[in-house]
Amino acid sequence: MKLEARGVSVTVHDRKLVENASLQVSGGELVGLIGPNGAGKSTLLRAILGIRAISAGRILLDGGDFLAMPPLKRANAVAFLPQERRVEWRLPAYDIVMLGRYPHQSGFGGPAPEDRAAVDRALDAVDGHGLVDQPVAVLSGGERTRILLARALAAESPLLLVDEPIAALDPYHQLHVMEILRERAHTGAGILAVIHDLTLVARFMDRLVLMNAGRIIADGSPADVLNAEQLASVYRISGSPPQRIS
Amino acid sequence: MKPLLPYPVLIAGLAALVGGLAFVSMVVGPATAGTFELFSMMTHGESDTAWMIMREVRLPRTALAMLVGMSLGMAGAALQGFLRNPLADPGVFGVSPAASLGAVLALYTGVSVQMPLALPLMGIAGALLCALLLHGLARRGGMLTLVLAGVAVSSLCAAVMSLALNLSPNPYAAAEIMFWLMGSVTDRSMDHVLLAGPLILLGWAILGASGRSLDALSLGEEAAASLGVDLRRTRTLVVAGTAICVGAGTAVAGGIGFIGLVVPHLLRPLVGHAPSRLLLASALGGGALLLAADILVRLLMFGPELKLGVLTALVGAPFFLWLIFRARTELES
Amino acid sequence: MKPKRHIGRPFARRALVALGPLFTLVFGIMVFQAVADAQARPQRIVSMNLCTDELLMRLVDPSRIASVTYLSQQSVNAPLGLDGIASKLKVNHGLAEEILMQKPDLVLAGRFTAATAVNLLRKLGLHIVTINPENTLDDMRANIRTIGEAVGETARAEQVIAKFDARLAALQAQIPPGEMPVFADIGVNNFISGENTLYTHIVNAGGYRTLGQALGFDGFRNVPLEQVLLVRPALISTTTAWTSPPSISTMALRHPALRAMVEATPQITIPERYTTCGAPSALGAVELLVAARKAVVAKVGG
Repeated sequence: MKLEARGVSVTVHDRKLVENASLQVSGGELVGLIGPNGAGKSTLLRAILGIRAISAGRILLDGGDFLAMPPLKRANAVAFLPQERRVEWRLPAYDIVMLGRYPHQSGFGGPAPEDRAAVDRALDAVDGHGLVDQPVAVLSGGERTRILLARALAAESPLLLVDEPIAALDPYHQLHVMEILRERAHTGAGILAVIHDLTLVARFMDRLVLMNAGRIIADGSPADVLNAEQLASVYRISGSPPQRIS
Repeated sequence: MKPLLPYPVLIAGLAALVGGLAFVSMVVGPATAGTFELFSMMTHGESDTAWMIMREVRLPRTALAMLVGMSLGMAGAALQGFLRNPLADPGVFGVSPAASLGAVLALYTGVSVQMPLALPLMGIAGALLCALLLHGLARRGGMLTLVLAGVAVSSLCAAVMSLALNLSPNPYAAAEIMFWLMGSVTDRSMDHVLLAGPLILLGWAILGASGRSLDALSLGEEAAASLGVDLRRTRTLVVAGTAICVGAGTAVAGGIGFIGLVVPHLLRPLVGHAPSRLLLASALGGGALLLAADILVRLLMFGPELKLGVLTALVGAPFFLWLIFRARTELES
Repeated sequence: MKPKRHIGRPFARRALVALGPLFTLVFGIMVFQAVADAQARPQRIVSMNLCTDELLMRLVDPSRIASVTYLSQQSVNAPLGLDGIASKLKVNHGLAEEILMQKPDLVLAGRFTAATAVNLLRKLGLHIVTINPENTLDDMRANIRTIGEAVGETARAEQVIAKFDARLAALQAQIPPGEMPVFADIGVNNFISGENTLYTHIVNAGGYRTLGQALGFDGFRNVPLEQVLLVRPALISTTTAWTSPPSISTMALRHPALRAMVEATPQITIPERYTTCGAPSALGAVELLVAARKAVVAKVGG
């Protein structure tokens, strides 16, 4: 499955948050969307999902108009982990993960056996079985991120968009989450992730898309994108690019 | 944090409670009419009057207490789930004040004297008008617009009601309006049940359809939208369902507070905090609470009968305060 | 002897044959009328309103009253000259259920009292007569006639009205001619009665104008204190139409601005029960006002 943004612009009050952006993500690849704060990364993700209205361009799923599809169909194809980590009410973690199965459920008769199986697999992936009975509100930041990630994984959708999944996590948990994403990509899912940590990006991503001031200015392998001139112009830092280790 | 009772057991228990209280409500009369006098009437050859009282006085009263209480409980749960705010209650959109205003105008203009059913009819008209206004606003603006509009509608309705009191022709007419505003299901007839009942059931069906979306909304609007929740549809369901069932309820029973606020709080832990499961549980809880309050009103008679809305507020407010104190750490987290 | 008896018997028989049907007819008519009378005249009357309570108790024998409101049993509401009657009667609290249990053949209600219960009772087929609250003494006379007709006591209704009018005339004869002095009744929040209220009509009947009339407005109104001070009343009430036993009604009188005026003016207390309803109890208020006139005159004269 292939999700594609073609010439997408998002304008709010005459201010262009995203301008003429084009990118694509296909099954089996882990793509990093990077760029400084305010570059328009999160806005672009939301625009692709149809949460934000676009003023120009198209979103295509395997060549078809993605935004014209009914909401549940879209949700079946593309799962999303937003930056917002707040969970209302004291819902137990298991119920939160089960919400990932929302697009698959009819709403009658409670979760089916395949829903429970998918939730179990997602909990396996994040090593979250020990947390299922606790309300998400009392979990630590790392635990909460893992549970919410499991929620996104439980949909078992062919495509997954994640917004800053490792923000505010310690190095151990950052690695853990990155490994989960890579694992998922290597089993066939297409993942587009907004991530700030350039070292981890270089180490885990198959491809990088670099944004600045609402525009996509580079799209390619980590080695190509993370060169000295790009970093200097975009991030206003200088030095040698991080090396891909694995 | 697993709930103590499995969900079906909880629902069955609450339904049994509602059934039991409805039975008590059919059996217990006002203290001044001889609480259990109906039994002796039945066994002493006066069963005609006794049955008429059962059928025409207690049945509508019981049915309305149940219907209105369930509406308040369900709408409260739906609104708290939708707004993701534990302080939301069915009055938040101004539907109850609008229904009250319609009814007060019926009283003020004297239409209700010519045609008694004009009172609930105008109350329902007020609620639906308010719902249409909110619907128009909701199509353009967001949730904040809706809540602020609700505050404005409430204030306007309160002002017009005060104006009606202010201009009322004599102190007796003013007293009648004030008593009506206090809320009661005493001495309603089957006509009231037949008028409000279908609308209330329709409102429940609409609210029930929003249940699963409310669960998804506990992840926030963006995540819910990505899960396939149509936010606009959910908003329409919650606003319309609340307006119809609470509006119709207020139109026949007057303003009854605190049920919609307190009941969802009480039952939320028992359903494992899931907004969708809370809908039915809270509806049953609201029905049970209002039935109990209406029974209490009859037993507590010392002089004029206490108004139901006064009793629910009198018991509900301190209880709510206690609840907040007990749960303040939870609310802040 | 025998023939005599024979002679006498056929005669008696003939007479009986002739008179029997007549007698039966006459007796039958009498019984029928008594029954019809009883049917036309309600025997189990319920009153759901304090004001209809008083009119009912004046118009029918207590044995025909199924119940009156619980308010009528409170001593503060005892109608003039009728103390003790209500306490022997059953009461209601305006609830449909208790009234149905009393199985009334007539229900009297005020237009604004317990409207939901009245509507339900009407729907269930009970005979209900509603009366409007009285704004004048003529309203009162009309209501007495309405209820008199409903309870089948039209003659007694006229008697009650005639007795009221006679007593009122006797009291009014004691009122000195000339301009009516001002009677100040300053209620809670300076709530004052102007033209066209029952209260004002009762005060007028007692030979005074109300403060509201002196200030020139209709109905009841809250009047600013400075406006109240513009009028010098001849008499002040220490109760108002809006009080119950624990009274805050006289608070206005304790206002420093009023104190001087209050101390210099004669005062009377008119029990609320004399002015609440348009009913013969209003004579109680008129009596007190007329009696107080002597003090007023003495004051003015001295």
